[in-house]
Amino acid sequence: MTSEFELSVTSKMANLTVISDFVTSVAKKLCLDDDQTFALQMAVDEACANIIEHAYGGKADGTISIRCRIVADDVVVTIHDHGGVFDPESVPRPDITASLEERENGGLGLYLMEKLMDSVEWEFDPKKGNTLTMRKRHVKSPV
Amino acid sequence: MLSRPCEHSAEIFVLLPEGRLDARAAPDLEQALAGLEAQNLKQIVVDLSQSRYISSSCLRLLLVHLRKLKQAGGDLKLCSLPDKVAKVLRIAGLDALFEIYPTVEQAARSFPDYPQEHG
Repeated sequence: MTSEFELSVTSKMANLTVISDFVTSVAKKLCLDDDQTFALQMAVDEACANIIEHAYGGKADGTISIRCRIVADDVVVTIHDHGGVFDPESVPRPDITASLEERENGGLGLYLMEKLMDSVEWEFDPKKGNTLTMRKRHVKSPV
Repeated sequence: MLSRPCEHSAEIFVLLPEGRLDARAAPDLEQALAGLEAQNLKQIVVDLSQSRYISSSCLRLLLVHLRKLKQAGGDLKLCSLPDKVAKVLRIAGLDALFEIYPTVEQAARSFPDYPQEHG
């Protein structure tokens, strides 16, 4: 059984549904449990929405390539794009204990990705493009 | 996106988004909230029973609208959250900022303009 899955789509918001269906199908094939499937779906959706909106600035003909595979005990998702570079450290993460008046509006997408996955790493290369690698410990759902 | 006054008060409006509330759905949600704001409706229930997923972009819109309404003496309350939507709100710490109810009826009843005879 192969444990590597790939999808390549253009940077249209409409493709978020295609991406979500792909992640659901991969999660089933990898026998991920509900929590893992949820984490993977949300993290990938947030990452891709971020790429479409910010890296490609709404330009619909960019490419987003997603690869899911098992490496040792981890589910590893790699998302590749050729959009603009951003500094993830420059985006403040929200203080989730803040009051309504003090709560920041932004940074929630990155916060959720980092909270749901075990690791989130970005690499930016002006020639090769941007690569986001996210890992989640692989737990098979009970049969 | 469906929006309607609640059964017993025209002052309390119920918004019913359907399907995935991802970044693609955010402009529709924003437009619906802006429409309610244009009508000066300040008591809003967002019924999430038909939304199996909510992304940060839609959460941000709800948060911004909640803050606006609170400053104007109104409120935005959530109800009927599917488990996964409730989980996202919990992780994002938003369950402490929004009032959340099991049903539309209970959410509507918590507003001051809900008529006493139906309370």
